[in-house]
Amino acid sequence: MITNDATILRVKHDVLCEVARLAWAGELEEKRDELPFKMIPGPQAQFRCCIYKEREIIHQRVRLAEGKCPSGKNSINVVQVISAACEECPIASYVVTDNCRKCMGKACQNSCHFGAITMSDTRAHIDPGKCKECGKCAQACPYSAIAHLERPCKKVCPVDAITYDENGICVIDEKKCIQCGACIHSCPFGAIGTKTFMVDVIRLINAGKRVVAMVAPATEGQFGENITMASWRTALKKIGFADMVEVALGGDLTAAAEAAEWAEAYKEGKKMTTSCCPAFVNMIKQHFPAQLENMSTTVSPMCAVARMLKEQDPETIAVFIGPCIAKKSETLDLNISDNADYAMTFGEIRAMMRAKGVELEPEENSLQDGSVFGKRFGNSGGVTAAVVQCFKEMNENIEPKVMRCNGAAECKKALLLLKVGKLPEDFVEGMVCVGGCVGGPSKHKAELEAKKARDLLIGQADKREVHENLKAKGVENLAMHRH
Amino acid sequence: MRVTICIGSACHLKGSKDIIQKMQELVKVHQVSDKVDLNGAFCSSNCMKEGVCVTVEDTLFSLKPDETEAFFEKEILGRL
Repeated sequence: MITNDATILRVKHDVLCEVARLAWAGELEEKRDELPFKMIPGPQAQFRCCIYKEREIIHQRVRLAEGKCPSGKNSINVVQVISAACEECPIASYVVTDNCRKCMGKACQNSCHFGAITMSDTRAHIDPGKCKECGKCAQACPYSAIAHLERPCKKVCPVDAITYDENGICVIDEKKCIQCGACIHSCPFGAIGTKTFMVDVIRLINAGKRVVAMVAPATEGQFGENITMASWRTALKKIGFADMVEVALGGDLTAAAEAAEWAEAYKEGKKMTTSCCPAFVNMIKQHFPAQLENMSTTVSPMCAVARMLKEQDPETIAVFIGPCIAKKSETLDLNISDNADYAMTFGEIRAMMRAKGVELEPEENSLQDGSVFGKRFGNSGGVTAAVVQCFKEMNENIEPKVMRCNGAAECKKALLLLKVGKLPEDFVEGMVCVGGCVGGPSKHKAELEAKKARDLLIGQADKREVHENLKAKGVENLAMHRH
Repeated sequence: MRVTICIGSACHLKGSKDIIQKMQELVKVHQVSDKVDLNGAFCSSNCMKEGVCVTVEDTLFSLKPDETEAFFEKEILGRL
């Protein structure tokens, strides 16, 4: 995959791995301050102006790996700015380039309503104090000489939550941020990251607690066609997890409960949205609160599996593993009872494994907890397909019209239409990441890159039906609502 | 009202899970779910305190699981 952050991913992963190593050994308290010196030995700086800045960045990354705010502020957001790493990218968004010929027509000057453009000796100049960023000048220039630069983090934020402080350092407006994590991999300096629960999970495993891993449906195919769910279970057990369950089973649970809910809403003529994508739920809560009454009250697949595990053994600590950042915020919402205790990304769990010398290794595809429909929950359209399958199994003659929202922009559009009462469809399937969970911010491979292996692995699964699976697992009566 | 309960490993071992469960029950019993917003929090580095770190709005408390009910009545219901 071509990304702008291969080097950054390596640095981030190395930090997580070093922190995990110390946490496993129980030496984090005494040795965490040595990490910046160990990782940046000097005397030459590798990426930044000097080794002192590089060490401060490592110091902030270590804090983040421990679940703390990088700069010592007390903030509740899961997504955090590593202020030392932020390059204070230029804020002026319209800039005149060398293409400017200082022509006679001066379409730029004529098109500007704010008098922001003057002529310097060599080219036009935009006064950032006067520019309102309307973009008229860039459209008007016959030489395409005016470039539109936007900070990469700000550009990808779907809810306009990114601003800057007086020094130009990125600031996240926590009232707006939906924790989707899109900004994290957009930053070419790796200056945005998330708090992790990695150290907490390691300490609880070390304390001898029963910690069970729950692996997201989006996982299959991410690590090639030879890494199966059985590979995951083996590797997770090696590092101290008591067991592993496929969250695809939760997909089945959520689909069945949602089908019952949708059928009822459909008959009443009430519109309804899904509630399994945590960033979509955050979007509704923070940006469209009046639509909460249209949101399904069914819990997410993650929560469903956590409830099942806790019913079997109340002492279980349930840890979700997947490509999602917003799941961390879902575990922090304690208004939902018996949800997962912690959520982790692929990168974090793999750092935990690497620190113990464990790798995911090829294994026969013998473990299956969910139906194919549950397994496809992590693809855009997967929730709808699973719910429609449940209608079929329930002999409900319903053909719902569903607005499948693939990505944050489509989610926003659907919620706006719902808000003004102009949504033609009956239901909204909201997935904030493009492609669904398989396109999540902490994915290992892009959707298309992983597709072949994913299709192959899911193709090997048996063809059990959703309700049949729930019955066989004895979970058809699990409590499936938020409250 | 925003109530946060630390879910870090140190607080977990001191019984934060029991406090969370008890608070969820109390919110239901007193029917204040529209007024009390229960949140988990990452470790706030106050692990040396004896109890679990709980904040009510911005005030930090140290709470032991068996004190939850009295705490809920005094510091949460008492402030509503």
